[in-house]
Order: sequence, then structure tokens, then C-alpha cells
Amino acid sequence: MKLSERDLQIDFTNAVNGFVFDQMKPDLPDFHGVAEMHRVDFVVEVEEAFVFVEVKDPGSPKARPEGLAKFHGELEDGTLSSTFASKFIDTFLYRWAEKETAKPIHYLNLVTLDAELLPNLGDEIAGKIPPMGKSVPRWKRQLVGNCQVFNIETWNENFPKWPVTRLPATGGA
Amino acid sequence: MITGLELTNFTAFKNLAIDFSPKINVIIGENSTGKTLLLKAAYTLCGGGPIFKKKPDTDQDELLKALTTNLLRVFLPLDETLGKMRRHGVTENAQLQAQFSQGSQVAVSFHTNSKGLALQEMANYENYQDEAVFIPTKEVLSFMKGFSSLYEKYGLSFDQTYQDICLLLDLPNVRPEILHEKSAWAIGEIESICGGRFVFHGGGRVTFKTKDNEYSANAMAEGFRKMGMLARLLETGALQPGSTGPLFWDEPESNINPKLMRLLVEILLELSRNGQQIILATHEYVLLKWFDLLMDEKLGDEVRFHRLYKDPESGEVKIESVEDYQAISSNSIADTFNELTKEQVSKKMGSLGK
Repeated sequence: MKLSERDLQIDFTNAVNGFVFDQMKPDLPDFHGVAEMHRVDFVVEVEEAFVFVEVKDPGSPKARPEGLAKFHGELEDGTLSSTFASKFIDTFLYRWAEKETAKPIHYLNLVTLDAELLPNLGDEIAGKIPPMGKSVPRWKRQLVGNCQVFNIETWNENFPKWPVTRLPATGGA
Repeated sequence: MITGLELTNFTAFKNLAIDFSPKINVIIGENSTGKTLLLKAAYTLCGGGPIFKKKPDTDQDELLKALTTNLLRVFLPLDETLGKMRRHGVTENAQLQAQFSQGSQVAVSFHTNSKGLALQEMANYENYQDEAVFIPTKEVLSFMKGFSSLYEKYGLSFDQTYQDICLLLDLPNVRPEILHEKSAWAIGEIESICGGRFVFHGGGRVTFKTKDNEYSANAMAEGFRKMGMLARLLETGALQPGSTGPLFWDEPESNINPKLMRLLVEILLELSRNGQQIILATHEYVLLKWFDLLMDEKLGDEVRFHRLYKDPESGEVKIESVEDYQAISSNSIADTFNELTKEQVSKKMGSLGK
């Protein structure tokens, strides 16, 4: 199951199902249809879990300086982690409405940044997803299993069955 | 400035040669690869300057005697003998060699039973008189009072770098007209972030003064005390960009919170732009990254990263020097973050995706 976001392609070799979640073209399958909701890029189902995947590619060779400046500004002021968290929450609600939340859900972000910046961003996103790091004894289950950020190298190191590759220059979704 | 250092059969090093940047040098490496040893060896060999400054007609025997004392006091080897600093299991002499600007150089050696250093080579060393500054890992403002006299009198378990820094901090202020413009700027920045200034009353007595109050230096956060040391070195002219020898700083990040670290890097870059050579050892990714982000090649900034590592086959400590942090082939600081990433995946996702 190969899914692509611009130049980056992930091959979920053991996926039961998987699709581009933020499909906004009405005539294509899996049309999302609620532009007001935040959306992750892919939803993938493996035997034991669902995996929500969001991809950001500031390390793209094609990245433009103004786009990079915006990205780094959002990384610094916390907007980026808020957006990532909103994407998870809205996607979760959408999937709940689809009755597709019966397995644990992991939220994996592929962001082409230095490895040293990733753990902090991952923790920041996790801290903005309910219950915001709080202990809530009334909760019987967790919204998110693992919420973490990877770059291409750390993703491939940790998920050999889901290899990421950067497609040649003209690649795309 | 110091341009090169070569250590042979000395402490952890079989043979290690380093070329220093005239601007900023950042030494990184895992524990026990000898970062501090390297700083201290370079600092000791920079110590010829003050010896000749104090007594211009110092002869060779006096020089070697003084350098031997410095080396022993800076390294505090077991039994206070030079032999304990020779690399284990070799028969050759230990040798320390340094090159400085304007063609100055010195090489000294010793063997297991040496009472003193032997001169191997010396060229123009007497003319290299830029005094180096060594800021050790621990801040000293909290225990400066009386430290120097105690140090002279008793065998305190502090190495010489602590006494040296205390003496420099206790110098009087330089005249305002001599204070370098960038030093004044840095002092102002440090004061504004600390909300006041450290006042040095002589004899090692230090207080911290805000607009309305005065406190004991010990009441201040350790990170502030550390920044206060930097401000004071500038205030006394012990650090005078363009005229002092190298600034060695061992783990500047210790006890400094990440917010102060940005200011610290900004100040170090500014000092280096004005002719101050800086050589520091660090474990801290945040510090490295600030250098990476704040350096500006257009302003002539140059940061050379020197990675010490143990060669997996020979076990010898080796060095890799690069101008770009990203080019460091294996970086234990980055590896640590990767380890954290792996551990979280394993804890929360088990074998999923594997």
C-alpha cells in the first residue's frame, strides 16, 4: 500500500487498508467533504491498530525560502504543534463518525527536520491532544497511543515495514 | 591565538593533533574521550605568555619549572607526578606541542620518572604573550571569598584553573575608555537578563545588586552566576576582544537554562567577530544548535566543530574536525535523541511496523 504526499512516499507493506484521508476532490473515492475540519494526510489500518500520518517536508529540495520561514516561525511559536494536534483530533472525530475507532490509534508525523528537534515537537503535539498530559481517572481508554515525530532516517530505522522514500524530482501524489 | 595542538602519549591520547579556528572552536564527544584534558593541555601551553610577561628574562630552566608546576596544578595527577599523565602501556615519552600565531611554538616532553618537563622545541615562544582565560565547569562566585589564599595555603582539591579564574575576576575594572565597545554591550545584555549586576568588592567578596536591593551572590541562580563571571571577565579586561589570548570554556552550558544559552552564544559570536578566539567543550545540543543557527558567514563567523571519539577497533581517541555541524559523521548528541525516539516507539508501539 503506497501512499504519497508530494515527493514523499510511504509503502505500508503490511497494511490491511489505507488511503489518502484528506481527499478533497468530490469525484475521487474517499472524498472527505468537510473542509472546515482539520485532516491528517493518511489513515492506515494494520492488523493491530490504526495509524494516522501527517507529513511535512521542510527538508524538501524544492522548499522555497518563504515557505521555510513560515514553517520555522510556526515551529517556534507553537502554531505548528497546535495544527498537528487539531488534525489528529478532527480526524479522530471523523473516524468516530465512520465507526472506525475500534483499534488503538497511533499518530505518526513525518517531518523532515534534524533528529534533535523531533522529540520536543512530538511531546509538544502530544501535550495538545486531550487529555493534554493530564491524568484523568474517569477515562477508560486513550485517544492516542503513540504520538511521535520522525524524519526520514528515524522513520525508516523504526518502521522497516513502512519504508519512506523521496520520489525523483517530478514525483507527486 | 593558539593555532594547533598535538598531544602524544599524554593521558587519554596516543596521538591527537588539532587545528584550531582563529574564531570559534566547539569540542564535542562522549564522556571520557578527553575534552577537558584537551582544553587544559592547550591552556597550560598558552601559559608561557604570563611567565615571560612577569619576568621577560626568564631562562629555559625557569620556564620549564613554571610550566611543570602549571601542568601538575592544572591536571592534578595522582601522586602529583608527571609520570601519571603518561599514557599507559607505552614506552615512548609523552609530548605536548603547541603552535601559536606569528610562528611561535613550543614542545615539551616527559617520561615516567621525570621530575620536570624537558624542552623539545621552542621558537619565538617568549614573544607569544597573549594571556589565555580558562572558565572551568563550576561557577566560582559563590566561593571566591578567601579562596585564593586558602588555595595557596592548603592542598585544596580544586585544580589551578579555579584559582586562575578567581584571580582574574578579582582584578579591578578597566578604565571605561579602554573597555571594548562589544564588552560593554555584552555586560549590558547580561545585566538586563539577570535583572541586576554582580559587584566585586575585592578579596573575592561578591554581591548582586538590583535597582533597589543588594543580595549575596549565593542567593542568585547558578546560571546567573556563570553569566556574571563572563560579564566580570569583560569588565576587568581579562577578556578583551582582539588582545587577549584564547578563551577556554569547559561546558559553558552547565547550570545555564536554555534561554540564557541563546544570549551566551550571541555574545560569544560577537566577541569572536572582534578578534576573540574561543575554544569550548560541550555536551549540549542546544548550544551547538544555537551556534549553527546564529552564526552568519556574511559577518565572517567561523565555527569549527571538533568531535573526539574512540576508534572502535583500536580504542584510541581520535578527532574529526568539520566546519558544519551537520557534517559530523557520528554525533553522540544526535544519537542520544535517536535513542529516545526508538525507546518511545518500542514502549508505545511494540513491534508495529517492524
